[in-house]
Amino acid sequence: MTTAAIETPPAKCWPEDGITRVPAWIYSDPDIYAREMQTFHYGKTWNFVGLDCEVPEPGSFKRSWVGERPVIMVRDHDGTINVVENRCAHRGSLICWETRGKARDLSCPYHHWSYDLKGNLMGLPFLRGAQGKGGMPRGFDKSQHGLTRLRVAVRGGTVWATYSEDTLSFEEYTGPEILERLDRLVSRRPLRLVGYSRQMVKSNWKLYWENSRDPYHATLMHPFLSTFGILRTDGDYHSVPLEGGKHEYTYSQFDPELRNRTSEASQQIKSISNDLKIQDTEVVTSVIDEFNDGMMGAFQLFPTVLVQQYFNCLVVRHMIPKGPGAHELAWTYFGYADDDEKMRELRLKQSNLVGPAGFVSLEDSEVLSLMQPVVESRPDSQQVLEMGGHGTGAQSTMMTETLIRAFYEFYRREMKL
Amino acid sequence: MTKATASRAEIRDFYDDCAAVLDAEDLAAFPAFFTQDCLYRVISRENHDDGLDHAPIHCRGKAMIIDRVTSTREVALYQPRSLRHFISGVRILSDDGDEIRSSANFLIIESLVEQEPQILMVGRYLDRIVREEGELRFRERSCVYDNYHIRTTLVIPA
Amino acid sequence: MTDWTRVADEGDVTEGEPFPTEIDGVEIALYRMEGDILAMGDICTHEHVRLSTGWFEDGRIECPLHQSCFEVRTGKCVPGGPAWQDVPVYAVKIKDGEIYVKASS
Repeated sequence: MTTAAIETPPAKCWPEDGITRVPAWIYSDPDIYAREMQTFHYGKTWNFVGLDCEVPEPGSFKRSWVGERPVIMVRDHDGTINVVENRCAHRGSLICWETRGKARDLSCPYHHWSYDLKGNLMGLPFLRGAQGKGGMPRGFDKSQHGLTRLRVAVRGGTVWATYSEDTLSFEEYTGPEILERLDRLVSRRPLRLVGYSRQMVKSNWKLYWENSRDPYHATLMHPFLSTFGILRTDGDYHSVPLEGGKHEYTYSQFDPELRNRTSEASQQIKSISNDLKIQDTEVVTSVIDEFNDGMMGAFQLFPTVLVQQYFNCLVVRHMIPKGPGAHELAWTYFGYADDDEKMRELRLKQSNLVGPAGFVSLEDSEVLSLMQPVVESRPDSQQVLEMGGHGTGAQSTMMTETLIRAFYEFYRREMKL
Repeated sequence: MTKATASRAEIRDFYDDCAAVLDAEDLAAFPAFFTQDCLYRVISRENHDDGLDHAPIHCRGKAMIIDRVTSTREVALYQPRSLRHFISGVRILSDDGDEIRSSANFLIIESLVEQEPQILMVGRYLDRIVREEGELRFRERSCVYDNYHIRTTLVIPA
Repeated sequence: MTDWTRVADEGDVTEGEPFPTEIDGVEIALYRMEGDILAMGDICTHEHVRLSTGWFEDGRIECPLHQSCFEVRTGKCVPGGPAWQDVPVYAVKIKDGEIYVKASS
């Protein structure tokens, strides 16, 4: 393959094989990245910004991000939640420096321009100058210099924002299946904030986005799952693309008996060591079926989050892009306001499973951060996505890449690639 | 006068011994530093200071520490690394003759293949230490890290 | 503080121009308006700044920092600015061409 090294850079057009191939340049090209931000995060999408329980009282605020742009989620004096850019309308400096807190108004530290909790500019120092000198021109109209305000949708205990006036209503945007799954986790009982984990992963955001659409890797790269019988290739599993590939969900029925069984498929995976015994079985066996459906699973709500229920561990994985080669994962763990002491402890224990030190997730950031430079070194190469065939329909198996193909069907349509 | 549980020098040695086990990746020896009913956690300063309970590593009881060690040694997949702990400012905050409350700063440098060594984590230990059968043991260890982010992955306990 | 304190000569305070002063460390401004001499607290309730360095117009003083407005006669905060609390007003008397203010706390 010596000729490959002297080939001209690849043209930015999709391989002829369609969605069974993904060209590697989309993981590093700065123009593609900029277009993704415009098309998706700053376009007609609903972006996750936080949970309502993070801003419990009027004046409570929390910093968040939409795409790469810092925003502030703040509860107004009348109890509604506003989302404004964390960027002073004057010179663009960061207004809010604290991660979370409480304030009467939003005041920029640089020149003390002061905004109300809706982002309206209330006042600025020396508008009329000092000692009769300086100051703003007479025609300066404060009403034209507020913070950029995003449209907000609140669903159950979750808060979403969009830049576009043309974005569909939140319910139309998610579609009925995602809405049902979201409501199952966030709309039946008031939420309780359990805490955050924050993680910096040096890979393109799409590699992570694909990773959580990839059940094929789960039992192979996360041997903890199969070793302790949590999720196995021989278990019940469903991969369901939705809304033309934009969103998806996966779920399985939890089977505590699986640990005691072996089958042909599980024996094929060499990582299963049946002599390993878990000491504190409570982590994986004393699960409370709090939704009365015996299900566990996760769903992606494009373009920002994977919402996951792992037994009784509930978490929103918020993917915050940080340039073509990096993204932050902000994990917000939550429970319910009426959780008793036992449930609180169970959620904490089970949160060892997912997160930056998670038994079934630490490998993801590890492999993706090692993958990024390799992918960047061969922008002309292609990924192969043929597991489970060439289609994009729902499949009841883990041995499929249908969700990734479905995503790229959506992606190509929106990006016009 | 109640008798002291341990001297500052003894606590310092205890910290160094525990860190040496982690630096040597002798994880099997790690659980022995804890009591049966211990709480061991690695928690961000953000959560700790805000009264939020979530910790990326949260082990209630020695059995969960053993599970974490087993999982890390036998199951988890991660790139080869060397860790070095640097512990300073060991202080005894209280000692009622039964339990010591102590603290120290920690700095953990991680060396990965193809990369310069870098700070994995910096923070402080907040500990409750007791003596069992003559040996010091952690009844509670909170590794409160100052890092805003965990860089890539947290594999080995802090 | 319950006593009357002499703060200025009557001629010191002119129409349209706030006159800053203080009594035992409490910042106060005097205003001449519609023939009356008025005394009002001189620190904005939003951020710590002397209101008298701001803009006095139509019976209102506008804070130089963020344009919160206060009625000089009553100390009432006018809705619309970042401040939401009133500033105190004080009793004034004039005797032999001198202005006295009762800064009762």
